[in-house]
Amino acid sequence: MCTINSAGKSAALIAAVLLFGAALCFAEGEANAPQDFFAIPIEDLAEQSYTVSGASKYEQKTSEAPASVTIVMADEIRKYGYKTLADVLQSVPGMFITYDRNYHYIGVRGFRKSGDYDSRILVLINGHRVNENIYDSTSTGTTFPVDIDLIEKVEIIRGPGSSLYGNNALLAVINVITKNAKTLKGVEISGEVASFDTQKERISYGKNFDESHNLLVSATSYKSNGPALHFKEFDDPATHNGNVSNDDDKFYNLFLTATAGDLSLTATYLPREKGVPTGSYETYFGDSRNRTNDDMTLVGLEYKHDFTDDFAVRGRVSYHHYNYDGDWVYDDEGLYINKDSARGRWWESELQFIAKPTENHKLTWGIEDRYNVRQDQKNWDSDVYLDDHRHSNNWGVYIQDEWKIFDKWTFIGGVRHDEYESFGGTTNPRLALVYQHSDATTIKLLYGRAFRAPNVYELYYNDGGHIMKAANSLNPETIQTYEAVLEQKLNKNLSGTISAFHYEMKDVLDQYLDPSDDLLVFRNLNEVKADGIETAILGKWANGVKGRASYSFVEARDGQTNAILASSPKHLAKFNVITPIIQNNLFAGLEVLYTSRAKTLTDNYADDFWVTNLTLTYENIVKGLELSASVYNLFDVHYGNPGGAEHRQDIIEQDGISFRVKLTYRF
Amino acid sequence: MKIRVYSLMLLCLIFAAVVCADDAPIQSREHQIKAAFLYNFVQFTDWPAGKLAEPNTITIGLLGEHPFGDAFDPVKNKTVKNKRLNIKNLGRFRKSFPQSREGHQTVDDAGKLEFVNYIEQLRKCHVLFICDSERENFKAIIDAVKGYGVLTVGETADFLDFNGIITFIPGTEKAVFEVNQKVCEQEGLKISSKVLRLARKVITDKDPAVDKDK
Repeated sequence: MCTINSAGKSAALIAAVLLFGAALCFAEGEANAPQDFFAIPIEDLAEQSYTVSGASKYEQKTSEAPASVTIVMADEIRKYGYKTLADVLQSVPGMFITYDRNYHYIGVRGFRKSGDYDSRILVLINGHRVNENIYDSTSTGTTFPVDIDLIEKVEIIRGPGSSLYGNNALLAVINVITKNAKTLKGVEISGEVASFDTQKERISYGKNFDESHNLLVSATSYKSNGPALHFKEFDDPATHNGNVSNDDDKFYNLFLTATAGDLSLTATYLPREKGVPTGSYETYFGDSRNRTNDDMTLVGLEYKHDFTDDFAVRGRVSYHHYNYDGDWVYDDEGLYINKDSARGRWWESELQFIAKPTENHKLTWGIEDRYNVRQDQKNWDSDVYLDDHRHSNNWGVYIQDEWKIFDKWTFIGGVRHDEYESFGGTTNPRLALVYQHSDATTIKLLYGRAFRAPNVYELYYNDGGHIMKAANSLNPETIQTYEAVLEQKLNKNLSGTISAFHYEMKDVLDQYLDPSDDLLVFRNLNEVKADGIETAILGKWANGVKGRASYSFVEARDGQTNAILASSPKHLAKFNVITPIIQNNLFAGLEVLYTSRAKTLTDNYADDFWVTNLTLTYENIVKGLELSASVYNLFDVHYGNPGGAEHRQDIIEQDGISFRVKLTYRF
Repeated sequence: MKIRVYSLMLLCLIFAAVVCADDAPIQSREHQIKAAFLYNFVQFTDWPAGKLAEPNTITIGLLGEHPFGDAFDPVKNKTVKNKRLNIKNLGRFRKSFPQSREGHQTVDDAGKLEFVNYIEQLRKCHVLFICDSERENFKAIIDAVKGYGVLTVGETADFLDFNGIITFIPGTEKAVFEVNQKVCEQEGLKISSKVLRLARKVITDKDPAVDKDK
């Protein structure tokens, strides 16, 4: 049941909605005053971006791509006041975010498994895959390796992507494109303050030396003390009556992109330190020494060259660091700290060719290799329980053909074969038929298979015979997805998408309590079957108003028991609109998100909830100065996300109303 | 049953957005920028002496269902190159004029004269912007103004294949354009290097791709 129950709040909501409607109409009146582009020198004119969102790009892409795609641009990130990548994904059809007050987890199409770290979603930064090599995690909250302010575009490609990308691309591929000196020129200084004693500062500098040489450097610092929290599960005098204030969060980010002709470099480093307030893993509740440190480093080089219009080569090589250190405080006749750590080091390389041998065929083929220099896990206090050192290699080859069979029909067929030292080979195809009925109507029929290799955490983690033992040998998880998509332009302002899908996951890795020794061990245990629909409407008007509304329904069931999965809300509805209030200066971004109830691990339910976020952005107060003010969870709705097996809390409370003010100056 | 209330409000809001916004004149930022580009093209193009000889105006013609709205208002009747800038709406291209009510073609002299006058108007333009709506007639239009020193500008990816001179590439986030320098030279136009430098691609004589349509 919805948790807003005071009439006052409802009245406030109605008032806000009415105001917003009025603002929309007002915006129209203001829209007719054209900005004086005629006074701008032609060179600068070429740098002015058309309205904003890459809506046209979106349309073009979706109708071509063998998948259902959503694109979110930097302009929307700013105007909706998104603080992390998790906020962006939360707004996207079919996706939902679970936050356990340490990490954010992505749910896609009804699937989100507690106890793992988004290993079934592949995240790329400027084409470099960043899922790390211990837990396969992708971390979209404050651990995401690039400051949200430096993201130019987020492409969300739903469905299986293993036929091109290999491992992890089961449910979605998220491609994050960062800014470069073309999109962030000169000096930009940004500062923000927010609720819960939160501050963020950033300084960036972008320079174009000439057309093909440019450089962007940026540094960010973020610190939040976090709210004071109360957990009723710990409401006992021995545990401070359930009150804690160790939800602090802190990160830095150093970032660089540079382009020299066909070569481009992306380097980013983000260390983050988080207090863990939930008393998870049976730790001593309320001790501020319970904390995790994660840091990720990416240094990636990409080479792109179009030899002719019909032949292009793309190569990339990257080096990655991932470090995790967890301090967990336990009470066993005196407090002591148990330390848990992971060290990942790896190289990635890929060589890709794109060719059009004839008018009607576009071929893409390539080879990818990952060499894991270190995949080390350690757990110790006075004794060492785990000290596991690994290194490994895996590689894949792939080919895809985009074949224009007839005028309106395109067939896309691709297949990739991957080889792993741990389990051997796996081959994953994708077939897509795209029928472009007219400029307005596109129909897609899609089939794909994808896999996830068991990671070293699942294979080798053990704590010396206390709770967990190593599996040592596991098979990959697989998914098969069938999907039909209709994309329809409704008029010159509106376009709609409907997608229906069915997927089946097999050999899903889960922990199993071995009765012979009472130890937990990973096994290829589960099956999942899901059916769902996603509908979305996108709108964009000449007066600058744009938005999207979506509704998705999914029933994701356990293949054996037929029970609805935990942490799987059936209904998601999202409504986003940006409207100018004063043309070219003041914008309002409103977001209303609905998530239906989701089952917890104890077969209770986390209530359904509505969250409303509102951001006002005032651009060019004086030239180059921008002020934005955001209210998150405007109606102070109390809601929670299902907890994991490591939590005593069945449901973990989320933040109530909070505020942010942000000032950015470019010169 | 708060959900229903909220859904209703959502619907109201969407409705408000649609109603308020749908009737707004289509004059997006994109076309404000493109209008400014056309204005700049006038400034940075040299026409053959004959083309600038006659009346005291420079004309930007807009052909098709163009989305400029009143984007040109700030520069209407302004002086460019010592001449008054004239923005001319030419409506949709009339290939087979005139037609009787029944749709049968009539071939009376008055009709022919009207058609000739219409083509004449196109030929007098200095810059002729041809909208996507005229896609079927690109060839006919460009053939009709061939040899009259008209700087044709389109916003369709394959506009240059029809021997158009400049085209804005659709689906980009900023104004990206390509120039067909070969046709430009044939028409006796000289586009300043200031403009050419900004072009994504300049097709010169050496490039055989242009001959596709011949």
